[in-house]
Amino acid sequence: MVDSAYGPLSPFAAMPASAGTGEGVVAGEREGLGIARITARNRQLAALEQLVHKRLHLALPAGPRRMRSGDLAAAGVGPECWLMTCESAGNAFAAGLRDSIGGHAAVVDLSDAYVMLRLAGARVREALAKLVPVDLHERSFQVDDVAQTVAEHMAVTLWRLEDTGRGEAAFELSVGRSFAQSLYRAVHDSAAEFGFVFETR
Amino acid sequence: MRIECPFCGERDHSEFAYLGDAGCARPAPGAADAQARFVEAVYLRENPAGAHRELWYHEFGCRSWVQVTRDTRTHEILEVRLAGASAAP
Ligand SMILES: [Zn+2]
Repeated sequence: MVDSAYGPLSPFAAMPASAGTGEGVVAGEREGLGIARITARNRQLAALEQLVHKRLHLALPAGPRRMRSGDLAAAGVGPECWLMTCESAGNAFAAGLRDSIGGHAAVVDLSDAYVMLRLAGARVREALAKLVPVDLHERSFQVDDVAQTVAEHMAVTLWRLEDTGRGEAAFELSVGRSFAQSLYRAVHDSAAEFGFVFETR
Repeated sequence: MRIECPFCGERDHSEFAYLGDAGCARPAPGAADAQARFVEAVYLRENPAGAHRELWYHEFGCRSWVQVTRDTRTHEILEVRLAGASAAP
């Protein structure tokens, strides 16, 4: 069988790739990520935590924090609820989770439902400050802190990554896929005065 | 007005949706005086000048229902807890 000519297309492919001058904010799309929301079944929290620890070698965080273990991460997004990600795993990630922990948690595949931008740069906090009503100062919002909030009327989930090799702050910001271009436009416009560059692989 | 969500921390009230009185129990629809009880439950509410227990939904956040005790004169938030089984009756 011949492969279809219609492959997946990034929602950012047709968007302007830069704004202003300089590289105050550098963005990129997180592609191929497996994303799943897991919610503990009724009164199964302790059992779920034990199972995730045993099978995935990950301690589920109790609050809005993110825990990482190799390619895997779990971000607390609500009481007894986590957004889990796995590098390059795509839809197979949620299917695997359902097999390994589905007895104790409801697992929903969101790999295609969300898009995620990685944002870094010397001016990234100033650009994000215009978008989200959360204090992103380095002491207030620490590495692996998680926030679900609103950016220009869009529900967004963001977390802070380790600073880049150049000592600049870095974040990941996700939104429902149908909002991808609106969020991109918001980030693009907000970052324009600091210099915005979108890097494609 | 800012509300201290038990999960997310302090957030602007615009992230929340307001439902209303947290102390209002739905009457039993099969009771003999059900109609009168429903009229009371729907229309005849206390309107306190002071502490009021109410339900808010953290829609642009963790999507939890929270029970907020708010002073209706000053908008001071006196207490916030997750709604549901652990909330006060
Ligand atoms: Zn919340």
